[in-house]
Amino acid sequence: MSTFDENERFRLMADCSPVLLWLANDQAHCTFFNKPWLEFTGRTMEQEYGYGWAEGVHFEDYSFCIDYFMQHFKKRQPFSMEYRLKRHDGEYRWILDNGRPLIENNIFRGYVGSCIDITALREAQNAKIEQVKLLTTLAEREQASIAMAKLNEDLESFSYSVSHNLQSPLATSFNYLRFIRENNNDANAREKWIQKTEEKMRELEKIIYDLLNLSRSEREPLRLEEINLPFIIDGVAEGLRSSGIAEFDINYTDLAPVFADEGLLKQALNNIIGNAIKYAKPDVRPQIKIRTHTYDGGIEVIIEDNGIGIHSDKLLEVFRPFKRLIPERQKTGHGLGLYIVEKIMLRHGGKIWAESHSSGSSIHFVLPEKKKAEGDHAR
Amino acid sequence: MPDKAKINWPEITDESLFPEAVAGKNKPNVAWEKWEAAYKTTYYDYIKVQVEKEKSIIAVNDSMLRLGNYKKLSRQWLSALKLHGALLPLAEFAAVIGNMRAARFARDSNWRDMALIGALDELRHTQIPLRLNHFLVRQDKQFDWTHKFYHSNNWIAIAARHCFDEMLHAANPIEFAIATNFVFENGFTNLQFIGLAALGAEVGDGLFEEMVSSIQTDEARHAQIGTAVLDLLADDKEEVQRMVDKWFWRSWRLFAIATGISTDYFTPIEHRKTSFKEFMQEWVIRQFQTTLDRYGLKRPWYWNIFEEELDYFHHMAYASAYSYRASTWFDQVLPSPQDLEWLRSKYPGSWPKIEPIWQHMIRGWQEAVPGLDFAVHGSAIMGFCNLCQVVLCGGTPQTNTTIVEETKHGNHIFCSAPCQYIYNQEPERYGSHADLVTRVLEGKAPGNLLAMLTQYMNLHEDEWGKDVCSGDYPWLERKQT
Repeated sequence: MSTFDENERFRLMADCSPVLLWLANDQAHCTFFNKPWLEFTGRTMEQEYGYGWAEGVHFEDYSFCIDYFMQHFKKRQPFSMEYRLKRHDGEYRWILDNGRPLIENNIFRGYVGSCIDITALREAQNAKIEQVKLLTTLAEREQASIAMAKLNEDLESFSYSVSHNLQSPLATSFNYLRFIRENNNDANAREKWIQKTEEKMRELEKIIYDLLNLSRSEREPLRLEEINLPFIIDGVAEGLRSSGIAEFDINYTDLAPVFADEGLLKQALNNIIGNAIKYAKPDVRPQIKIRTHTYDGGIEVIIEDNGIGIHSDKLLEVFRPFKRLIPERQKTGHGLGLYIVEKIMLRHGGKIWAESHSSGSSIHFVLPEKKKAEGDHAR
Repeated sequence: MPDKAKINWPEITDESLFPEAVAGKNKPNVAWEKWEAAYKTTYYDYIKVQVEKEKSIIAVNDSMLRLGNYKKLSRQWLSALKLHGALLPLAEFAAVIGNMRAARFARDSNWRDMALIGALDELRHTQIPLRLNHFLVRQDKQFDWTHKFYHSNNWIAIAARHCFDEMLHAANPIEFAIATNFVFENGFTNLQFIGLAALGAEVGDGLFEEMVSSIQTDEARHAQIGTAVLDLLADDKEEVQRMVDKWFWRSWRLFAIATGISTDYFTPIEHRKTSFKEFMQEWVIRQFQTTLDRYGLKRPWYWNIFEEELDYFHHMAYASAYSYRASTWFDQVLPSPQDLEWLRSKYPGSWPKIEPIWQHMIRGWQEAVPGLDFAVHGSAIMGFCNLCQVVLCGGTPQTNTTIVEETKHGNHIFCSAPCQYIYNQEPERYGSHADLVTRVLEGKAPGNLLAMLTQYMNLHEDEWGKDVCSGDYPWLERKQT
């Protein structure tokens, strides 16, 4: 196995990361940007070096961005901030930048930061805010104000969760890189840590992928049409099988047609069925049953599994972002799946909940009938 | 009978020889041919004297560089050298143009001759700082701004050009003589350069001392062009007064920044003999008032505003410059407790209002690690006066003197009543000039401060101003280790 210089190895790892990464020294001079950052800005390392990166910050955000950065840097506190950064094509994109101090043996070495493009997410939030603003009656205004407060709360908690969940694999990767450096003479150990780092990078990649899906689920216009459920379910099952997931059986009978956006519904079913397979009992082949009912002006779709089930006091939590009911080490995933499904259902004007029973658990969602869906939510 | 030594062209009309658009309005009641200056010289004598002055400059230059004497200078004083080094040469070069215009279009041949020699003087003044500081660029890149400054879009350069383009490039020989020779040189630089040379000697900067004293000896001579013109304009007091009012204020703005900051902040405390206010009183005000009296002119109408500004303006300008030091090409110093004590004693009326700014900066550095300049630095774009183009720092931290006026060229903002007055005298001249903020709003300059520095002002990290000690002062009690 060829031996890399440790700096070279670090660079390789950082360049493979799906997020934009930067490193700053103890005087706030940025000394490194990974390839995704440089590709995003379309500038060279020399141009970004030092304070060069800040030239790309939108002028309306510059003052906040630099003051916030310095304020935290002085106190060596982690920070999370949003600002617009100029992309290589000249367009300004909203960036969520999470910085964390690097402290080694009690010595402050500088900062490491990771950024993701949250433009689509912000646009979706803004669109919602605009929607809320349109409500005119007093009652609606009151509701709107509650919704706004909730929206802000959600956004805040969501940003925090994103920041935390990106930071965690990143911090672990940095530790692994340190182990690689320390085990420079032991090829086996080094290989082990490289593999582990790659796993973490893939984890990051998955989070980014899901975040993109989430933003799409909120941003893209709904194309409502009558959906033939068996056709969609077969497609989803085939996709899951070809992805190398564990073997499973899926059964459905007498499914009523529903009225929904085909792409989003596929994504929702993919996440629900994928979860059912992931949370199977050990050594038990997953069995998934799907049925529909008429439900108060809409169609209820029930997806039932024979998995490990959900404890009754956790039934609400499964829809919260980054909520994993099983310890991280035992199951893959990062807790965005059902959060996205709920967003999709709400987008359709529908609802979703989970139930637990002796042989497993079931996810229930209701999609409104054609007229109601078009009237209220097809914007 | 015209003087035989004078050159005239009787066969050509005055209007053809001296078109009013270039030469200024003719005044039939003025006997231009009676123009006489006290320190007239000949070309022959001029060259003989200048050769000796050049030798002296070269000798001092050699000693500073060969013996490495420049390295003994304190870093804060080097900033005074960099500031003056950049302000002087190309402004002097603009003065070559102004003198050359007078050498052709002044209405008397003695005046024209003196202006020609004045142009040679100014050429020399351009070359002295360029030559001296050129050798220092290898030691310190900030000295590159000696040459670069005037061509840049740095905010101080924009302010300097706004003043000098009018005073030196555009003014006709009559206004040039009053603005440059009388107000700027006779009023400010002539005697003040003696004081500045003494300051250079005090801090051990032979180079600076020789540079300004050598320039001063030339200024003392050609500044007389101004009083010689004033002698002839005894019946045009109103117009002369208007020009004096305008140019005294415009000159004061630049002097307060260059000399005020150098005297009270860049001169190490152990070498500070007088405050800038005392310096102005000793070297400028008394003499200028005497000269005004001699020519039957009044003190400008804003004299009490000017006197108040002696206590405030350069302090406010320095606090602004320190807060935005990356927008300059010289490093800046945080006043020490001894400095603050000295400033308190020299400015007992105004300093208590200004000191909180510095206490704020000191607290900023106490919390920041050394070198973290941007933690104690402004980040929003500054506002500028639509006339003098200097940062809006008139008045006190508590009461800014900024005035907003709706003009036919749009909403304008002025740092002070005199700047507003000067603008309103000639709105067509000044109306279309865009200050930096307007340039940002028009999309001609980046609004992100850092991009503005690097992409618009051509100031990069290895050149832009930082704290002279990177905030690591022995007297500063740091809160974080």
